[in-house]
Amino acid sequence: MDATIETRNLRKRYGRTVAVDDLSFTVAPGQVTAFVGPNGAGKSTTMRMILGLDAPDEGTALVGGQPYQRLRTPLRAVGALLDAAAVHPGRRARDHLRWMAHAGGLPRRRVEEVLELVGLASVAGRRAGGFSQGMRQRLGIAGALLGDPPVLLFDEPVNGLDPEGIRWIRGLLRSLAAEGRAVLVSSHLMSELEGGADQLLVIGRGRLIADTSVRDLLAAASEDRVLLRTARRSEAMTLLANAGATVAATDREALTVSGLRAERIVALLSERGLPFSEVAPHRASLEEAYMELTRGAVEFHTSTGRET
Amino acid sequence: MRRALRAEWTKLRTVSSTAWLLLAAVAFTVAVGTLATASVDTSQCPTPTTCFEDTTKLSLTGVWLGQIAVVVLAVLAVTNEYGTGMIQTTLAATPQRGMVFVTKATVVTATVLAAATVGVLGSLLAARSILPGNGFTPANGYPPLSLADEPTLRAAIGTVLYLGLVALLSLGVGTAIRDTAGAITTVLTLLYVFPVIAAFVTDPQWHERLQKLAPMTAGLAIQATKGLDQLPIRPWAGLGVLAAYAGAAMLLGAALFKLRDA
Amino acid sequence: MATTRTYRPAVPAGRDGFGRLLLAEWTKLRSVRRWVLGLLAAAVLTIVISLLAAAGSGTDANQEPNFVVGPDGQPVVDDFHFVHQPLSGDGSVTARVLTQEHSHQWAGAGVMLKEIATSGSPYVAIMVTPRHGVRLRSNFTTDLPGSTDTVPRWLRLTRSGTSVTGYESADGVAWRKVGTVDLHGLPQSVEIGLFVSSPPEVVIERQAGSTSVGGHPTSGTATFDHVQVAAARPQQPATWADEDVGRSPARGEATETGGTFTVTGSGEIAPNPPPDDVVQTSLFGAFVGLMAIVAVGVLFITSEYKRGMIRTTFAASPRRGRVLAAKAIVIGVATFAVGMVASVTAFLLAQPILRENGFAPPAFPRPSLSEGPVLRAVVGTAALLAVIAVFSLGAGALLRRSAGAISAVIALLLLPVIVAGVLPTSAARWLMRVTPAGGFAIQRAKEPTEALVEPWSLIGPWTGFGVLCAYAAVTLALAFWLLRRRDA
Repeated sequence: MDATIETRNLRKRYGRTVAVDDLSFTVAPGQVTAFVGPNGAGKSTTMRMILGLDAPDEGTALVGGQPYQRLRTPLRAVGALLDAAAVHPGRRARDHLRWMAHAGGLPRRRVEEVLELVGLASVAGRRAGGFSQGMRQRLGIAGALLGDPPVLLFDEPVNGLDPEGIRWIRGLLRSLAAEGRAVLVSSHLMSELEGGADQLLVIGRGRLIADTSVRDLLAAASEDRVLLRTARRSEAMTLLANAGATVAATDREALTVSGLRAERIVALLSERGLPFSEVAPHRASLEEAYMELTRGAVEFHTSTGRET
Repeated sequence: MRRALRAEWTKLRTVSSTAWLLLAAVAFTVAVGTLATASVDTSQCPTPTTCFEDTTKLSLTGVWLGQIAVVVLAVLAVTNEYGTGMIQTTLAATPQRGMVFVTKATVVTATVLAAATVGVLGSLLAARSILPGNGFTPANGYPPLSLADEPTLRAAIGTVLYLGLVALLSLGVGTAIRDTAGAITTVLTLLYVFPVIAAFVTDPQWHERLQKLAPMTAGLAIQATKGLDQLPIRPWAGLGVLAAYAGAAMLLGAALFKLRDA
Repeated sequence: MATTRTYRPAVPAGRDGFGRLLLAEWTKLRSVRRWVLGLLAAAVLTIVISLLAAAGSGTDANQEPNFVVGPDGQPVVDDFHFVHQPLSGDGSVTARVLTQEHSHQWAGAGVMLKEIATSGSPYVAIMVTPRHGVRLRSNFTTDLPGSTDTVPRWLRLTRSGTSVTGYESADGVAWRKVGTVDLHGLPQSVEIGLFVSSPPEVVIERQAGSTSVGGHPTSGTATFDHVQVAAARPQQPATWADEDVGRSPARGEATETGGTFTVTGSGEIAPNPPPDDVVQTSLFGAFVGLMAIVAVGVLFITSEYKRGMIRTTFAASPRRGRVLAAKAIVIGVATFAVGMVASVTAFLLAQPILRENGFAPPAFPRPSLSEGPVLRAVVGTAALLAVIAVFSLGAGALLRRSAGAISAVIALLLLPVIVAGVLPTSAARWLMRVTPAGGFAIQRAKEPTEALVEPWSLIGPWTGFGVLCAYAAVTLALAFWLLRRRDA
């Protein structure tokens, strides 16, 4: 089976709300694909359709070239973490994984292996109701890894994790992808995935906004821009603007200049005798690049006060 | 206090299940009451002297089913907050737990009493229009149902109070158990299993004892308007038994609510 | 960065199949402590409440002053008017029943051979009835049907040793044998003659909340001619005597004019078991135990919906119907096992208590688990709980909310029992037929008597249980259909 996820023209509406609209993408093996969009953009709905839980109104979702329902041993084909809270609080962590192993036709030793892998071996005998959010995330990830599947789906896996946990997840995702698996990770915060993702699927209001590699996106966002640090900001702005550049103030002492090459900027400033402490090619953050992409496509604008 | 009351009312009002459950309570009460009334006519009971059908009580039979919606409503009012963790928000807004408990009980009971009034009046009105057609006419010795009749008024008011007490009982149990399934099962066991057992136990002494102790059978003695001397327990005393159950449940619930961590 | 080699799982391909699914659901059930405690609580409640019910029941059926016992020691009623003469050794009695008053559908008029003219003594009788044709009856238990004809009818009993044969005829010429019964230990000398019986009419009156069972005696009159007693050995010419056997409040009488006998009689010749069903009493706690079963059955599925765990379940096993089937089997079998322990324990522990309280032979023969109806009641109680668990599971899958499912199931199971107690019999019977509450009839080990007013006596054990099973099946089927249709 190929380690891929493929959706074609997926569409799903709930009542009058269109949750997913004509969504087509492919998740390739060997890399971490970030599935990014604001809350309510349709990420979870898409993941549920991939897993055969929600039936799409139109289109198809295939895993390794097959509809999910057709998989004989689904846990060995796809591992998924949808909601870390989806555990009965009265059940021990080990028992939770055991029933999954039974249902997936997996050997019992896998339970101990994944408990070890996610670092829950010492608390496996405790009831999940007493777990912290982070421990539950780890338990959910353990469940996803149980069948050692070539395709993995994680819905907001870093939610509620401490910085150490976030670093652990990033490393885990990278190593899973490096083994040749296809890894799809959703998040509503781009910064959470910085340095963790290779490929980017950006979704807004149920539609695909961008399907690009992280490197290309960053390059596009950084293109032709120069970061200038100077104590005499306003004079420098006037000067450079008159010379035909577009100047944006990003900080009290920093400007982002586009339309002029760095050498030309240095020459202009030196000519006027304006002091500067740094002139360097601008490196856009993933967050910045993402914000630029999704502007106008977000479901809940800050002005509505609903963004969470 | 007023702010807390308003907060509880908003919480109750804004859950969609509340409206459905209140509607169900009224609809079940009226529907079953109407069916029971319609199923009896004077042919089964030709002369009032040999078998005098208690038409008031019959028309109010619907509370047997209607009370289930009341139980669910009152239990959910508490357990839903625990289920979603909202109780922490509630207690952060109003740290005085006693006040939270009292205002919740007040709001839920008042709402239930209002719905119960509608259900009881609806049942009596339905019976009033059905009964003459089945032969229960003044000529046969059955005067029309009227709230001006003292026992009928007592039965009507008592039935409304009965549903209010059932709500308090459910609130108390819900607060003590904090789990929807457990609380509903417990309350429905208290209400329904006693009468089934009483119907079965042959020993007359035990039979009467069970009927006196069962919250539902004793509480519904308030509906009797005829043959009062044959009742296992006097009407108001019967309602008192239910009130004792409700009071005990509320005390237990309040104590646990104050003592336990949210 | 982007490697194209595809990952191959290191985990060996596991076994796939329904057995694994059962194992998964069983793991779910046993690993939530509350559910296990709930099932145990159901067993404990069933046992404890059954014992309390046994302790709270009492009877003086064995002490009644006019308690009549039949030849086998069972309580009987043996009331009729008897016109008789002694017969020594073999012989026969013949008579034509000319007319019979339709005083009761089971009124009897015919010829009888009885050991002595006292209630409860062994007998054989052949009779006509207004509605049920010719019957040959013996010792309160044997009942052989003859033709469906009514009066006028020729009837004959012939004694040969201890066996007695009944015949009927339309014309007194062509005789048809109805049957032969053997009265073991029949003495040489017996009473033989004509009899008329007419059972009392049972009246059940219901008012809201109370039921009164009353009866009034009926009297029937029949005329006989061609009455002839023939003895094998010559014996002294006998004269006819007549008397009321038993203690029917209505008096009977007999007159003879010109070979035609006019006999009026009242009463019934039948087994008369007390209505109490000691087996059902000893299993009564199931009414309380089932409450815990309902809660566990519903939660077994709704708890998955509440927390979204159902998605994990369906992601692991996309064939949802199989998941539901596995759940139903696991909860059904687990409940049946718990129910068996509870019902057998309750039965065995409650029987001595009941005997202590007066439910003892001869009025109440000792029930044994080897008797069919007793076994049916005891195993049926476990099956009842199991089907209720499956029904609850189905309701939970259908409604996906524990509050709604639990209250709906409990209302459907218990409310009809309470409501039926105050409805007219016809309405109560209808209610038992259309609601799952009729399922409790499986706990009965005794044929209900006419005067019994408990709602679950209004429906047969298997019929009632069938209704409950139908509810469970339909609910499950509906849930199955919706499960495949709805998003998880």
